[in-house]
Amino acid sequence: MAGIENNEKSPKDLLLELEKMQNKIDILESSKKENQKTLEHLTKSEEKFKTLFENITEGVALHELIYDQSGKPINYRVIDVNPAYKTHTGLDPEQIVGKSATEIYGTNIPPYFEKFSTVAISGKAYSFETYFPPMKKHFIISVVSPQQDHFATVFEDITQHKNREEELKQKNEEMARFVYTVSHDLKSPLVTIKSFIGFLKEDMENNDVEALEKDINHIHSAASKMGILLDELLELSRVGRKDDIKSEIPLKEITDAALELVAGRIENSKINIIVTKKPILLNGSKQRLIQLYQNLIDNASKFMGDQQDPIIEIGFDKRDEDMVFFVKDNGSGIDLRYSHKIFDLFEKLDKKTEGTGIGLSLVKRIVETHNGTIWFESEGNGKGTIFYFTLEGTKVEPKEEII
Amino acid sequence: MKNTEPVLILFVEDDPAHAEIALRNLGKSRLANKLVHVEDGQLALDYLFRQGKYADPKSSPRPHLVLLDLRLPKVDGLEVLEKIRNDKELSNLPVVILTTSDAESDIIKAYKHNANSYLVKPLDFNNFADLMESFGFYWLAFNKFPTL
Repeated sequence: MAGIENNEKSPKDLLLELEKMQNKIDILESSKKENQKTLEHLTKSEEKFKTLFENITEGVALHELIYDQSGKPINYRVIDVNPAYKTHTGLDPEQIVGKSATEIYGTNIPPYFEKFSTVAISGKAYSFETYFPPMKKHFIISVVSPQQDHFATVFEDITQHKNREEELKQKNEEMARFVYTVSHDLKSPLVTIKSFIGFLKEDMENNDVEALEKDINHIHSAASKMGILLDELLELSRVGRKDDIKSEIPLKEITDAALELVAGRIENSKINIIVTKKPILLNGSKQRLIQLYQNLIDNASKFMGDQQDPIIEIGFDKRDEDMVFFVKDNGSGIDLRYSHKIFDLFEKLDKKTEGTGIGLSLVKRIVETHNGTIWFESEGNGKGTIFYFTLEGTKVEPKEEII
Repeated sequence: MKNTEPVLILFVEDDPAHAEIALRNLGKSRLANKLVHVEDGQLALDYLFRQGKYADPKSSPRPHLVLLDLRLPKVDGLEVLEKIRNDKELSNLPVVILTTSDAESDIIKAYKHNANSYLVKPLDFNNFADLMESFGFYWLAFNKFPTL
């Protein structure tokens, strides 16, 4: 077209430019949408991570390595910790964020420095179990490196778990000893029975009626002994299983019942019994607690020795926070040379006394199933014995106070 | 070749029925022997070391052989064995274990403590009789004893 000036554009050109601008706007818009999407993505990602960080039950701590002037890593600093961190370590975030390891733990060498720095530099994740002496705890620690020179630890306090492992190991050993003892103690009377049956034949051949009678008695005693052992073992294994648990059982009810069961022996030996008047309430199995006291009192009365004025005292002390029960006697006492065997199954220090020796094993088992501990003190030689034990959940009746 | 002098055995056994079984069966071999029977580890040590009720050497002549059960009240068999081996005068005293346990760990422990022999009380009557008879012949008739 003629007469178009330089700066003037034709409608066609204007339209083209408008189109170009529209395109540019479209591109910008779609770019903006993309950015928004990416931003949303990142935000969601960050939220995911944040949720994990905030809510995870394990402790999480982010660290960065600290370098010396020659470029060698020598320490690390805590950048951030999650809320669970305090649960596992007992340390407050304010005490540690921004501080270096040596500052936090007061050590010359930052704890686990080799392991941590290796991960931070190589990027290779690593996990291990450890005992950390400054906190007296066991931990399982996973170390990972989110970026060069940084590392994050994800860890858990496994002290309780470790303790339970140890407990299990001990229980297994106890079990093995138990099996050994039982098989030996049952084999023994069986040897007797079989041998004396052989002797019976000889006695008959020799027409020795007296010997015949004696030998039959041996067989009879051994068979009875096996029966009793089996019954008691069964009893021992049942403690803690089908026991009927009650709460707030008055101690007096228990001791009265126990004393009645041992009444014969107490009267025969003319033993003076003293029972505490404090109104104590116990939680647990009434039947087992009666058995517990019965066995301790029975034991005390069997081992009075030469004591002319036998006394058994049943009472209780308050020691710091604990309520400690005791059964005390002034009898022959326990020879401390053999004291480590005292609670062993079927272990009798004096062969001539009645019973199979299961009593104290049973007592110990009952105390244990009531979450208590039992021990004794004795100076031996006619100076008496005191058995002490604790039971979980005991209390004094509210209206009385212990002075 | 056979011993003509009676052998003195210290027999340490806590179960009176088992003691009777061993003695009756041993008697069948009719080999000369004298036997002192004690019922727990502490009494065995009292006898050997001449203390307590055995303080008078006349009441506790040195045995030639100890026949020892492992599971004893007060002081157990292994401890008795250990104390014998650790004593200058008694360390060569032959000790034969006679016990109910046939557990590998018990056998190893006994030999580690330098027992001379380990015998397991049989369940079968005839076997027990044979055992004591053989024990008698081997130790009382043939075995030579060191002077302590």
